[in-house]
Amino acid sequence: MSQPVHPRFDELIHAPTRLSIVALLAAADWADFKFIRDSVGLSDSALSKQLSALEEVGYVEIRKGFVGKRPRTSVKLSRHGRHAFEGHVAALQQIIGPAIST
Amino acid sequence: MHEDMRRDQAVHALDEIRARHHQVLTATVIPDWFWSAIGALMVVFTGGVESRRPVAVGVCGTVFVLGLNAVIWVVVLRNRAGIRNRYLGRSGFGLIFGFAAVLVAVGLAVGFGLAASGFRWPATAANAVVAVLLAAGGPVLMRRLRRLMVARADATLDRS
Repeated sequence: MSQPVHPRFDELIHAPTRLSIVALLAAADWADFKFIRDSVGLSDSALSKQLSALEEVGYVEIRKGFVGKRPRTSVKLSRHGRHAFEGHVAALQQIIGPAIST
Repeated sequence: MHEDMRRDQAVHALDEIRARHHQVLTATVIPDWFWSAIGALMVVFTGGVESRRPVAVGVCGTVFVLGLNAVIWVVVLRNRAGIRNRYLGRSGFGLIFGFAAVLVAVGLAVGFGLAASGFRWPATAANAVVAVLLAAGGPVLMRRLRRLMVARADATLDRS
């Protein structure tokens, strides 16, 4: 069962580029490295650097494998990372205040 | 520090998150041609079996297996992100099963009906009808599912 989400602003996630990356990963069970790179508009090295920062704190898991003979690097948000992201979203919602219907 | 974050900055951050969610959810995973290809392969296979000629059964069976593998491999290779099932929800799964149920029902009805009338190729004809429904309905199903998933993703971000 899912843990209750407590609002917790996350400075690491909130950096603009990492927010984009984590938001992409949050919508997916896993995402291809190239998909993230092309979606966010980063070079391979720039993305690797961002992912390393997230991996160091245990927010993402990076797996290198093959699909057929083609190497493929896939990234997924860890449980810890997903919880941190949900807490960050809750913190943003808290800053905004009550939901406004559109 | 986040204590200084203004409301508009938080709104902008949530908008960015929403846009990235949409990017993942709307990335085409199953191309429209997939449905036509599967339908065509089904017709080829059934036609081979109903011909009752061993050579035709062998050839058509081989074409079916190789074709199915090729189609699935292309889709797998194109797949760049695995969407979370939670965005489908009960209604999404309901749509999928409902679509499959309609195809099965139509196929069986046409097939048995044609068989009862003495038609020579009832299963092939039935699968041809199903193939048309697949080709037309598959892309529609995918669009409905994408809209559903985007709406569910937005709902999680709109909650306070």
